[in-house]
Amino acid sequence: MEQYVTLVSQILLALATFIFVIYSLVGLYALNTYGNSKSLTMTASIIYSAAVLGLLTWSWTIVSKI
Amino acid sequence: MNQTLFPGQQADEKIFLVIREHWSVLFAKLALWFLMLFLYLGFDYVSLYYAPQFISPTYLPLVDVLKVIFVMFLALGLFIILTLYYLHSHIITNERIVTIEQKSLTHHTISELHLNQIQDVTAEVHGLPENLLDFGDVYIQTAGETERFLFHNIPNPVKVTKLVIDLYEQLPEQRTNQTQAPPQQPQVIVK
Repeated sequence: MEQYVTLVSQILLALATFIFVIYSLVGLYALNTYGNSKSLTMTASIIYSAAVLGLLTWSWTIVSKI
Repeated sequence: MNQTLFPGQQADEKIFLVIREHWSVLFAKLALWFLMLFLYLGFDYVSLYYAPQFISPTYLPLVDVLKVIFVMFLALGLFIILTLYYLHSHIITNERIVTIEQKSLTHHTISELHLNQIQDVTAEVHGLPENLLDFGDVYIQTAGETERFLFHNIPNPVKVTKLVIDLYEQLPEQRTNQTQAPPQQPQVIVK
């Protein structure tokens, strides 16, 4: 049972991470392409990219503990 | 020189107004987002007292992963809400009206309307919150177009309507060509 739960957890997390990263990249692309204030879009991109990296690190930590 | 806000902007084009949706529209979306955040923060407390099986060693890895996934999409949701709000705008210049619609991250539309094509401008404010906070819709009927330009949920719709009419009347061809009928005076609909 525990092995099954672990496997399901890892598959779910891999799938969610993939979708999350793709949508984040698309969002950053849209923001930097269509945004007209370069400083604002650059600041937002840096903050969000840092948040994405933090979340990915956190999720990797969770997976490594399973 | 003006900052370039949209493709095709002329160097001598004067920007009069850049409008985004009223802050209350953003506030409503952010309130929903914060509700989701409180659900996440309250989950541990609720599960401790009402569903202790979720923190049993069997299901704990799955619950932890689901919490990480929830936070990921929460962060993504906030990013999308703010990005769409920022990118969706309307620009009024001394020559034209430009509507930049960002319906989703991948759906971007730019429409423009020259002021001399305007036939009718209507401001519509309906509902209690709209009246209290002074926001609503502005419809601009164009010559030869069946579809109307719509500014949805913008602040000060009546002032925007008057600005558009004033700019129309200041067009050089409108001052010299008196034979062309001017647009109707702004209509204001308050429901």
